[in-house]
Parts: sequence; C-alpha cells; structure tokens
Amino acid sequence: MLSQLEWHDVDTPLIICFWLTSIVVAKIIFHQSKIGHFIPESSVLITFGLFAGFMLEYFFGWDISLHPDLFFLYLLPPIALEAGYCLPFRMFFKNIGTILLYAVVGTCLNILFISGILYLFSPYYQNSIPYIDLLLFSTLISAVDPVAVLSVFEEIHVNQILYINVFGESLLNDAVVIVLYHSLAHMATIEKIESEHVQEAVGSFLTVATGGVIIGLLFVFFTAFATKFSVKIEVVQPLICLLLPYCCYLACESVHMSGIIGIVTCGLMMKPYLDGNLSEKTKTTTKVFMKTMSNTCEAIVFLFLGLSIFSKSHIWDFIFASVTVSACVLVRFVVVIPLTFLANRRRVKKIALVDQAIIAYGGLRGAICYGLVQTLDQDVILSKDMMITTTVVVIVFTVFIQGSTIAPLVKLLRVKTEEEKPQLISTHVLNGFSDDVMAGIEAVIGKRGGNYYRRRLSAFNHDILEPNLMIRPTSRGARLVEKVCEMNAEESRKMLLETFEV
Amino acid sequence: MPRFLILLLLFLFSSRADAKDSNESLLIERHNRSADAEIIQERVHVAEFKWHSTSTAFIIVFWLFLACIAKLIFNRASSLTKIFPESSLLIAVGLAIGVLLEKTQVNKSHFTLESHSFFLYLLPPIIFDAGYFMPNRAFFKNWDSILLFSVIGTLFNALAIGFSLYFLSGFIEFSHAFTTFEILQFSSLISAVDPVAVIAVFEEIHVNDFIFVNVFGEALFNDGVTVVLYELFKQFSSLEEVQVVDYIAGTASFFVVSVGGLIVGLLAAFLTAIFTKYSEHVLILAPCFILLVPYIGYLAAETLSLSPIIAIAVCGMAMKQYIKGNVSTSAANSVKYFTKMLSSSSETVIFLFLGLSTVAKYDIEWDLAFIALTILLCIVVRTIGVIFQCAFLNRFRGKTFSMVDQFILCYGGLRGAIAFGLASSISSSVPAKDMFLTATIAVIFFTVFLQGSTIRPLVNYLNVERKKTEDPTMAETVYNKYLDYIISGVEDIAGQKGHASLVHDFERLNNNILCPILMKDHAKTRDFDATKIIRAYAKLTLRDAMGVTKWQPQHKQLATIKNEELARAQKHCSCPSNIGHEANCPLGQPNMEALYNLFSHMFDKKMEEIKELREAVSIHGEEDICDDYMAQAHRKESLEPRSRPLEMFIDRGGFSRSATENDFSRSRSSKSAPQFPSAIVIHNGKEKDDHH
Repeated sequence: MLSQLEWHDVDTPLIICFWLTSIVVAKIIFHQSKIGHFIPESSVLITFGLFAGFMLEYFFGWDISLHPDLFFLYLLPPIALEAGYCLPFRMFFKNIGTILLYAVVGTCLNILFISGILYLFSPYYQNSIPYIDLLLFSTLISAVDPVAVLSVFEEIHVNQILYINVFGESLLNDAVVIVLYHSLAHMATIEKIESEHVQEAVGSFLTVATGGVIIGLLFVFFTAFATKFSVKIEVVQPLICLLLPYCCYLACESVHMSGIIGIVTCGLMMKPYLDGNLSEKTKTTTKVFMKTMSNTCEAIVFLFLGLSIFSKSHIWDFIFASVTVSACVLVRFVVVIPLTFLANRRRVKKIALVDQAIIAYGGLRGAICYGLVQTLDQDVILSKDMMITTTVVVIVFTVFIQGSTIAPLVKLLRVKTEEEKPQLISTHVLNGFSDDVMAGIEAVIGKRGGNYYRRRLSAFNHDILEPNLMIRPTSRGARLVEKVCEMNAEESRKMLLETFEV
Repeated sequence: MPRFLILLLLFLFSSRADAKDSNESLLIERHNRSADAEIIQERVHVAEFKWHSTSTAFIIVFWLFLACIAKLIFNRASSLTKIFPESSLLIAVGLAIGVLLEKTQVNKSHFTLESHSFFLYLLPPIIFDAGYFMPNRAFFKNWDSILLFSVIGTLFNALAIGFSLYFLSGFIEFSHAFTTFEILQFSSLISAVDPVAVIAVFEEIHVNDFIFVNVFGEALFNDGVTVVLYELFKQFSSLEEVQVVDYIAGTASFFVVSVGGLIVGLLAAFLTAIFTKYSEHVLILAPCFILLVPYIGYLAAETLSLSPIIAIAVCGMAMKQYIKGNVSTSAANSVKYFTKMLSSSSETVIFLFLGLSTVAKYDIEWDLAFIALTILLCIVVRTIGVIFQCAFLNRFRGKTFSMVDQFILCYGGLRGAIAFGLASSISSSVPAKDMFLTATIAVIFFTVFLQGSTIRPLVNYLNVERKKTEDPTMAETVYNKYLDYIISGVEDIAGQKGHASLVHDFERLNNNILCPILMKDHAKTRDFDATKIIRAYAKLTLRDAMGVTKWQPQHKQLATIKNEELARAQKHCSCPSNIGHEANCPLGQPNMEALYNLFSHMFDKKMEEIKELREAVSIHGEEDICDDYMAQAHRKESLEPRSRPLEMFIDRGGFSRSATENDFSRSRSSKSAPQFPSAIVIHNGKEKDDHH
C-alpha cells in the first residue's frame, strides 16, 4: 500500500486541535468584519457553536455536552489564573471592602432572592422541584461573567472605580458561587435536612475558602522559590509560572478546598515576586500565554454552549425560563442598590447612581454557569435537563440582549470615563507619599486603620519575604528607578525609530 | 543532594497514591454495591481528600514539574554536566527511579513510555522547535549533502547492517533466529540518527553551523526513509511471498511519504501565515494557532501515513519568515520561548522515560554477541558510509568536508528515543522482539553515554571550529546577500543553472507572490526584500535605546566623545546612577529622605541644564542639527510640544522631568557616537538595492 489512513490513532488530539483552530478562525472572521462593534464576542462563539451543533446533530446525530471534568480540571483553571494574575493589585486592595461586600453578601442575597422568587412561582412549573434544588440552581445562575462587560469597559475607558468593582466582584463571585454550589450539591443528596447540616455547610464554606487561600499562599512561596533558583535557565521559568499555580489548583481540589480561590490567590500574590525574578522576555511570555490560554478556554466553553443548544435532551418550561430570566435581571438591581448605599457610607470616593445601574445591568451570565449546570448530578436533581435549558436561555438572553446594549447604554448614561493618560512618575511618587502620610497621621491620632496595616504588611514583605523569595529585592525607590528606565527606553526607542522613518 | 531525595520522595508519594487509587476505586465500587442494602448516614464534610478526580492532570503536571526540577538541578551541578551530557544524566535518573519503583512494586503501567504518547505528544514539540530554529541559510546551502546523507546514507546503513547481521547469523548462534525481513526491520530502525539525541548533545558542544546543519538535517530528514523502510519490511515480513510489484510499490512509497510530508508541512505553514496575517484584532490568540496549526499538520501527516516529522519540521522552517512579519514582537517572543520551553521539557521527559521504561516495562534479553555486533556494525557501517559519501560530495562542492568534519559526522550519529519507540512497536509475533529491543536500548545507551560524553573532549582535542558566539553583524548579513547576488549573476553569464540562481529565483517568487499573499503590509518590492533589514534595524535601535537607558558602565565610554554637549550629558548621567545605589537600601525614613534629596538635586541640575541648553541652541543655530536624523527629530518634537506625553509629564511632575530630559540628551549623544553601526549598514543595503 502506498498510503493509508490511520484515523483512530490520532483522533483525540486532532479533534481538539480542529476545534481550537475553528475557534480561532471564527474569532478572526468576527474581528475582520465590522460587527464587532455591536455585539459581544461571546455571542459570535455561541452562534458558531450553534451552527456546528446543528450540523453535527443533523448529519451525524451526535449529542455533545461539556463534561464536568473537562470543565473543572482543564478549562476553568487557566481562566481563573489569568484573572488573578492580571488584577490590578493596588486598586484591588484599596477597594477590597466594597468588592467583598458585592461578591459575598451580594451573591448570597442574589441567591436567596432568586430562589425565593422561583419558589413562589413553583406551582406553575411542569414538574415540582424541591426548594433545595431551586436553591442550587439559583446559586449557579448567580455567577456573573466578567468578560463581556470588561471588553466593553476597556473599549470606552470607564472610570477605574467602576472597572475594579465589576472586575473584582465577578472574580470573587465565581469563587463564592462555586464553593456554595459544592456544599449545596452535597446537601441536595441528603434526604432530610436538619439545622446542623446547615451549620456544617456554613462551616465547610469557611474552611473551603480559607483552605484555598492558605494553599494558594503556600504555592506563591513555591513559585517564587522555583523562579528564584531558575534565573539562569530562562526556558523553564514560564513553565514554572504556569505549572505551579495549576498544581495549586489540583492540590486544592484533591483536598477538597476551593481550587478557584487557591489559584486566584496564587496568581494575585505571586505577581510582585515574579516581577522581581523573571526577565523582561519571560515575563511577557508568561503573560501572553496566560492571556492566550484563558481566552481560548473561555471560547471553548462558549462553543460548547452553542453546541449544546441543539442537544436532544432539552426540556422547555416557558414559565420557569421566563421567571428565571426576569428574576436574574431584577434581583441584581434590587441587591446592588442597597449594597452600594451601605458601601458608600464608608467610602470616600462614592459610587455614583449611574455606575450602580451599569454594575447591575452588567451582570451577564457566562461560562461558569454553564459549566456548573452541566456538573449537576442527574440522579439527585431530577429536573437537570430543564435547568440546563433554562441556563442556556439565561446566558443567551444576557449575552445577546444585555451584552449588545450595554455599550450604547454606557454612552447614553454618560458614565464618567477615564481619560487615557500616560503613566506619570509623579503620580507614582505622590501615591506612595500619600500612603506614608496617611499612615503617619493614623499613628499620630493613635488609630490602627487600613493604612497602618498596609504599612506593616509592606514592611514585613520588604524585610522578610522579598529577600528570601526574590533574586533582586526591590525597594520603592528601586522600582521608581526601574520605571524611569523603562519610560526612557520607550521614549528613545520611539525617537530612534522615528528617525529611521524620516 | 538533599533536594534530590525530596524529589524522589515526592515521586514515590505520588506513585503510591496512584497505586492506592486503583484500590480505592475498587473499594468505592464495593461501597456502592452495599449502599443499597444499608442506608448510610451521609453528612456534609468539612474537608475531604479525593485523589481520583484529579489524578490524570496531576500526573501530567508532575512529570512536567519533574522535568523542570531536573533541569534546575543539572544547572546547579555544573561539574557533573561538564562531563556528561544532560541527556545521559536524565537517562540515569530515569533508571534510578525505575529501579526504585521496581523495588517498591508500584504499578508499572503508569510509568512507562507508550510509543503512542511518545509519537503524538512528546515528539512534535521537539521537531517543531528544531524546524523553527533551523538556520535556514546554512540549511539551504547544504541541502545536497543533507539529502545525500539522509537518503542514501540511511539506506546504505540499514541495508548494510541488516545483511551483515543476517550473514553473521549463519556463523554465530544468536539466542533467537530471525528472518531476513525481521532483521532488516531491526536494522532500519537502528540505523536512523535520532534528532532528539543529536539536539540534546550538539546544543551543548556548540560546533560550527556547517557540521551541525549536516548532522542535524540528516537526523531530521532521514525519518522519511526510516519510517518507510521500517513499515515496508514490517509488511514484507507478514507477506507470504514478496513479488516485484511490492518492491516497486515500496520504492514509490519513499517518494509518497517524504514528498507527502513535505507538502503537508508547506500547507500547514501556508495556513499559519494566512491566519496570522488576519490576526491583528485577536493578537492574544496568535501564539495559540502558531503552535496549533503545525501540530495539526503533524497529526494530519500521521493520519495519512506520511512522514509527520518531515511535515512539522518543514512547516516550522517555512512559516518562520512570515510569522515574524505578521505578529507583534511580544507574541513572536512568547512563541519562541514557549516552543523552547515545550521542547526542552518534552526532551527531558523523553530521556527520563527512556531510562525508566528500560527497567519498568520490558524483559531484558541479554545476548552479548548480538548486542556487541550491532554496536560494532553501527559504528563501522556509518564510518564507511560517511567516508564514501564525503569523498563523492567533495568532488562537487565548494566547501569540502575535512577529515575532522567527517569524524564528527560519524561520531555524532547518536541513536535515541525514536528508535526505541519503533522497536517497542515491533509486533510481538516476532520471536526475537525482546532481543531486538534490548539491543536497541544497548545501542542507545552506548551512543548517548559513551559517544555523547566523549564528543565534547574530542571536539576540544581536534580543535573543531566552534560556533560563532556573536550574531552576524548587519554588514556581514548584507554582504553575504550581496555575494549571493553576484554568484547568481555569474551563473547567469556562464549560462548555468546552479544553486545560487535557484535561490535567487525562489526569492523572486517569494517577494512577488508569496509575501504579498502571506504577509500584511508587505513592502511592494520586486527584487529585493528589505523587510528583514528593516526588522533587524528596528531591533538594533531598540537594543541601542535600551542600552543607553539602562545606565550600564558601558555607556560611560560612549560619552568620551569630544563633543561639548556630550560631555555635559555625561556629567548628568552620574546622578541617576546614584539613585541606583541609594535606592538599594531598604525602605525607611532615611531612605525616603535621601530619595527626595536626590530628586531635588536632580531638579536643580535640570534647571541649570535647561538654561544652558537654551543658550547653546541659540549659539549653535541650525547647522548642528541638520547633519543627523536624531537631532532633526528632536527639533520637530520641540516644535509641537503639546502632542507629546513627555511634555505633559513635565507639566505635572517636577522631578520626573529631570530624569527624562536627562536621558534625552544622552540618547542624542549615543546617536552621534561611533558605535552605531546600524545606520551605516542601512545605507549599504539601500545602495545595493539601487545597484541591483
């Protein structure tokens, strides 16, 4: 035989590659045509998946759904890692109070209200659903997806407070939802729920979350150490930066802590140390690859979403779906406004009413909801198929309708935008200065506020952690100098290149 | 070596857990069965341990991590790596781990290298990396010798080794009898030089490009021949009787497999280039498909039974030029790093597994005579082959193979994991399979350990010309190109279609048809493609700019130029370097004070400088400015101050201004400094362009 076909040998990787490439092609086509200005990217992927799903269903009779293991072990970690790694560190910690309020209290309220509304309407559904199942469903439907909103925000440069709040909320909200989901999913298997179960669930929520944070911090040390010792072999460094956080995720999962909290913590905290240990090139490589991978993973989930729309197992319940959609939209407004009121009482920079509207309206649902609803156990939750259908409806509704209207809305409401201005050294210096002054004032009036602890932490970090974990410990001054260098290099590069063009 | 022990412990832990895992799943099954009988009071757990759900991912991550650690340790223990090549050390570590596992009786199946996963997952990154970083120019200069070595050389090797072993089996009693085709199957897999082993060893000894490209090109491209021969003899040995038709089909399949692989590779390269061309809005995904599409090419070639190695190597070589023009620098850099990273870790994993599977998987069948004869024949036949081929080539080549070159060519014929993979896929119906496998392992160990570790001293002893450590300068590249044009012109005059005119024709095709299709904003040049030079120039300027601003001691020499202005710049340079020193001490009250002092100091100096500058400008007038680009640009800038971020910067922050301004004067100084070859070279390029 001159040549032959050996399909079975290579089918798995080939199929994976094929899907990935088709995603890339879809994205390229989407961006080449001009529709990108009107609708969010995710909607295109869903549409593409829809077509592919239709084809597969029609011609081959394949029924495709996202396997939970695939989602939790391979697709979720890169997304979470990138989110943690690219979070603006300083802004995040400045607004941590508000973010936590939205993410923890807000999400819990969301879940409670949505489940309440769903329970109210339960006599009208096709088949009766127990309250615990509704609670579980409302938990997973409360996970907010930042991607669509953030891409809009980045395009029009909304003010930083709005940006960080939405970003931080959706990030931590995922973690909260996943943890709650797991404990509720466990509770759903129990026949009779007693008060001690609830207590234990709360307890497990706390252990799972703190356990995740602790393991995450542990892996920050590992990563920093490993990169410190691999300075000479640059080839290994990006690999370490990607592998160890993933290791952290897996470690968390195997001891049943929250992997997502672990990996986000790891990504967030390791960044300053990596900055000191990696060279410019490896830093870019790491960052680019995190972004590429998270982008791809997200696209895959949306693709699966589109694919599954044509699945045979859908069960339509119009009332359930419409109640869910309207509950999701309404409850978010109901929750955001009082919480912002609370937050504004303690904030110096208030969150404006318009911003609140955007925060509430920007609650798009996405990948996480879909991944979670796929992991429901069919034997325990009998109405799983209906929930999947409803989740898909909610996601499609929010992504297509809310997602494409949010950009005009932001313009219409004249949300305060941030002018893009170059990074100034003087702001950098003055920020540090004002922090020190604040800490000094707090010391003078004998109060231990946020600034005091920030200063203590940074001193601890500087005196103990950095010398051990970093190859070249940096002081604020050295960082400043580095920044000046960077800017100078950029300037000179521009000028030299300009010369050439002349 | 305490770290090493920890590593081993970690390893054992994970494998133990894995072994437990299978038990656990059994237990769970039993548990489930009994669940019907008794109602279990389940409770919400506060914490629990579940290994089974994450095991696959964990094992993959673990191996990659082990590869990292191994690299780290070898890098630290440099005395060891000076004697042995890294690959042999890795095999040794693998062996040690294998023995340990054997003793602790862990389930072996988790820790052996399946030829399936080797060919599908571990090999492609290495070959892609090899293709992507192949010195294209050197390769095409030596294409004739590479082709000869990889086709005729491999054929000769395979046939000679096979027939002599068969011949010898008449005299010596081996532990297993074999048929002609079986031994030919074995000899074809053992005769192939392995690209992975060659990269691993030759990267460390840094021989010159000429030898490297020859050995390495042979190793890459003999794959087509090896795989075809192997499959052919495999089929022959299963056939009842071999007819003439089969021989003809066999010969034809050479061409189909190699050329098919080549076409698939080119197609993949074409696709990648097209994708990257339109990827400006999805920049973040560019690295994803730069790696994906070649892999699809590999898999497609594998599916069609073409040579996947040739496909992915060709793809890497062909797409490089277009990719670099299409994606951003940071994306190109990341792809570069990521490829290197993937390939070096899969290389590490391969060698580890090679050691490991030797112990773990197979029953070793020592047949000393067979092994010794195989090794001997491998060396002798290769030597004869190389000498004859070199003698033949030297008659037609400008650059001939010297004796030393020939020796390194012979000695660098390392065998590696591909042979092992092929050997383990010999069908078990062959009675001598275990003997063949053992012999393969022995040959691999012999070449990697003995030849691999002695090649460095030999290279030193024979005084082989080393690889140039510095990159070719711009001028060198341009003159090389120039030379090519002249040669092709001479060939034209002599009425001969030679190598140079072929290259020239290809370049013309590339510029007129391929580049406009495959690259975005490609400069429409008919004969001469300047983009490379422009890119190189941009790179150089960037480096210059970085060098200037990095405040290295080197820029102090820059400032020794007589120019008055430069001297002043030098005076100011000294203050930033002060910052560097002082800022290194920990943050604290005195430090902050020092910092502020420094800034106010710089600020004062700046004011002074600006005053001086104003005077200087009014004195010097325009003439000073016109003779170089830099100052011109500078002047233009000063005409429209509002448009530049720097000016805002000056408006807002007092001290920052001093630092930046300072640097301006310095960058200006660097430009007129003599160490600025790039600008000169560009003139060369342009002139040449015109001439042509």
